[in-house]
Amino acid sequence: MKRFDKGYIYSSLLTDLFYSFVAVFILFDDLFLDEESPFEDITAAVPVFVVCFLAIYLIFVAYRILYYRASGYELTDREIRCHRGVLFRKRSVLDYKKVHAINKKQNIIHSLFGIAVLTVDSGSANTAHQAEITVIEKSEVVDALMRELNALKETGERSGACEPKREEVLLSDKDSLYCFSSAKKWLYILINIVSAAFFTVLFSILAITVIGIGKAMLELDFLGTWGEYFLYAVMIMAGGVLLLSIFTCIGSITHAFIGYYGFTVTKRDRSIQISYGLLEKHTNTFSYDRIKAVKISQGLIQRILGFASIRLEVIGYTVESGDNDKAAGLGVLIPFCKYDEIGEILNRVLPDYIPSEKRTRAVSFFPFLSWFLLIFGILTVILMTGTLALLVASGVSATVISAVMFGMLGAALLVFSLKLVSALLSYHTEGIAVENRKLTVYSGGFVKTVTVFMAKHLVAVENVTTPLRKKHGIASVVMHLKTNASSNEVKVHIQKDTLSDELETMLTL
Amino acid sequence: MKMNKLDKSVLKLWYIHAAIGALALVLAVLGVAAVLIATEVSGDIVLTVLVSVGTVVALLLGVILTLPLLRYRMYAWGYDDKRIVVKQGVIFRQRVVIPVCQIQDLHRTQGPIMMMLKLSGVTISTAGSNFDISTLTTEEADRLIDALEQNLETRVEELKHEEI
Repeated sequence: MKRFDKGYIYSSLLTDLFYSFVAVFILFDDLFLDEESPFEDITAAVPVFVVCFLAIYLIFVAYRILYYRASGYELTDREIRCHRGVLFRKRSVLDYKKVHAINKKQNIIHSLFGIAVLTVDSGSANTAHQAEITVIEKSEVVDALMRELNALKETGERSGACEPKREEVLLSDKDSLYCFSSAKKWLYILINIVSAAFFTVLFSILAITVIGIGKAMLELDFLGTWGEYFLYAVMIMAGGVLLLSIFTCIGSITHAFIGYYGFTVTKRDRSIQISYGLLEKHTNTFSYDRIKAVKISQGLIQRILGFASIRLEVIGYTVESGDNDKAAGLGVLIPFCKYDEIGEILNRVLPDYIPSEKRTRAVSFFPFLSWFLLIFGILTVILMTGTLALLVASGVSATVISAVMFGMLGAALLVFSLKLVSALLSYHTEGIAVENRKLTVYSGGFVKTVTVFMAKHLVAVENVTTPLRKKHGIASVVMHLKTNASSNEVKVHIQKDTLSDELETMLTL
Repeated sequence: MKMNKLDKSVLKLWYIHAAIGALALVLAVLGVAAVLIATEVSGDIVLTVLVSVGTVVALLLGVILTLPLLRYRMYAWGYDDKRIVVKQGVIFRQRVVIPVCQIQDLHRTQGPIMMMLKLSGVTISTAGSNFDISTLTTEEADRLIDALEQNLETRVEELKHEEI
């Protein structure tokens, strides 16, 4: 067994300096942060702080050394073996043939010590939230291991390993077809800012109106004259928009320029590799046949301006985000592109997954609203009646009761308006195309999603209807896809009920 | 495909579950009433809260107690050599079709009340979601599992040259 690189200890101990510092404050907050602290000034507290810090840091040092000594990996003829852990020891064995995804991660501290983390995964449900094999090695060793494992997963054994396949860069920063160029990144940032500003303005106008009604009905003098009220309201709204825009701008710049730095999609025989990141470099490799679905998403503003992003769903990777190597950011194929370019881009990367034109559409508009109207209507009536009864019983004045009722009615109208717009968008979006055992599902309201997947990844079809809808030949269809999460469903609403029969036939052929 | 209805003892089980739920609900309401009375809130408010909550609870009790019968009437299941079909739902009616070749594993489960009534639940696990055939008699459940196992083997043999 070969041990992990010593750089693991050094890089971990560097981050542990920070953790120890935080831990001192958390564990001994009474000693240093409390008002009744025994230390009169900072000079008296420093030696005690240093002793506490060193004690905690020594525990980290001991743990890192023990972890290093207990960890190791080896590549045998048919499998990769790995063992790690101090208190809970884990030994993993993964057959080369079962290798599902190979990922490399290198953050800025790792790169200081020239190391990287390699995770190899089988896509098993048992290890859905943790990689099967973890190796911490010098960056160049990890690169060599990735190449070797990519070859081994094809042949299954070391003696039969062929030369690593030639890499063909499909889409990259320098590619003429798709380039996440600076101009595109700025446009992406601008769209994020416009989206944030749009919703801030929308909610601000609502707040101004509601408070304005309150001011008119309850004669709230502390809000000043109407002129003063509107002036301050507009100023606060402008301030809010500006503040949110600055935060969005900083977040988007970090995301676009640092997170997606050097974004490259590479093809290696039957595998696809996605690399990106400046401070934390990711290199994710997985087989074509493990790709379950391609998802094209468009938010409302992106939809209006004709832009989209493309994500991949891979069998063995859960859809939940989380602090683990398997979920983090794997799904992105194209972070931002023109909607019209999608066919051309997918033609180069995943030609099998080019979306087909929609063949069916939603057959009726009202069902998109009917159940919402019924449930929301009942809840609103119950809530308003209950509030009214409580206010009357408490002897509140008629003006206050009217103001509260108007407020509740206004909020209900707003929710209804949003649902109405969402239903209209869904009515125009929902539909499906079935073509040569490839399915393209169009769905969503404010966020439009086009999901393309193969019939072989479909595990069940569910037809959902109500007695009234059945009478009119209407049904929604839920398609269950292969996944190692609890479930992964794609839904298409309010279609002809013959659609599910067609899918069932395809499924059981 | 022949669709099967559930055994009558399943209805008994569902009514026991409904009675437990209803009892819990009534106890919760009594608890709220006791707290309100103990905290010396004005009589009008207590009355308003109790009437509102009481109305909602009465409606819920009605739903809890009628639902098992409606559910029982709508439930049907069946299978052939290629697929398993489950129909259920009172207002939203679902019809789930699971191809036999997608079965990963089959589970039979029993809780204490189910054991007393000689009933079992069957869960069909696929490479994606899990699907339940609500509650069958233990004998039916065993027969179903044996038949599905047999059908799975035959189907895998039939499809061994195809990508599934």
